[in-house]
Amino acid sequence: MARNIMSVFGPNGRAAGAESAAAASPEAAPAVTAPSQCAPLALMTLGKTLVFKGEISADEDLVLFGRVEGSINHTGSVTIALGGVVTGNVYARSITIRGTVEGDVEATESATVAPSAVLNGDIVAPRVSIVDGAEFNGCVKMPPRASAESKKVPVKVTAPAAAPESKAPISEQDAARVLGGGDR
Amino acid sequence: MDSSDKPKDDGSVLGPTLRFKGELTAGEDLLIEGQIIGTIKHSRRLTIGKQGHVKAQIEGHIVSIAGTVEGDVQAQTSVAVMETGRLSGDIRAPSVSIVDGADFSGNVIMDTSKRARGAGRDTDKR
Repeated sequence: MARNIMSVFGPNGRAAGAESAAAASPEAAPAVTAPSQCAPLALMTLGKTLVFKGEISADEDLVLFGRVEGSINHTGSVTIALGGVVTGNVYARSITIRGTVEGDVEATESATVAPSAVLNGDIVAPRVSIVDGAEFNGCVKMPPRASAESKKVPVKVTAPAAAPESKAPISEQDAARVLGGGDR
Repeated sequence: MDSSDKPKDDGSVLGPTLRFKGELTAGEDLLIEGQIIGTIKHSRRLTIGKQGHVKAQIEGHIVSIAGTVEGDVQAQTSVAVMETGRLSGDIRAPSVSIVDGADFSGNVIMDTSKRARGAGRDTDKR
């Protein structure tokens, strides 16, 4: 199973590709993608014989077939594949669970628990889906989505707010604010 | 990237953004481009890629180093330090190759008969 995936991601095994692709469509791509659907993205596959005891952190999208005893701190999307086992907490932008997780799961964007999954622990994510068939014992907390999108709000606010003020001569501070906001 | 690293057709790649602290065991070919601190126990071919940075005790079957390793390396078959490799630590293997250009400081212990020789010199078990 892992080998099939490997051959898929072999040709484009570049981290930069993954990051730019992910950055281009951060919201258009919900993390519900199956490993096979991830083909256009470069991703990192941790095969089923791998056992990590300790703390992992990474930015590249990650598909785990192996076993992790410890926590995962990730800034991209993490998929615990069928057969993958995590004993510990998982933090990531988006998390898909098809395997087994004993621990809490915290996603800044979304968390998906697939039918084959076993999850014993809590979920914290603004978007959560638990598919019929999944085994889940724990509680779900949904923080307000505003926190996830807080970076974009100021941009929208500052630009229109600056417009009415522009009747008066634009001060340097206003200009800086508009330009600074526009840069984001 | 696709210069000398064979294991990626068949095995796992730990990408350059990966950081791991702890104990890693694996039974498949592995290419490490990330940062690992701790110990690695491996039963097949292990490659530390050019971007790889490992501060660990490594036990493997076939180990080739194109990145940076701080720690002792023990292999059942062979250890190769590539041109881009930097290793500070001891090598213990029946077959060792160090390519011209490699940066290596440490001892080489070749266990041509049996691999458990020289254990008295080193504090680690085995």
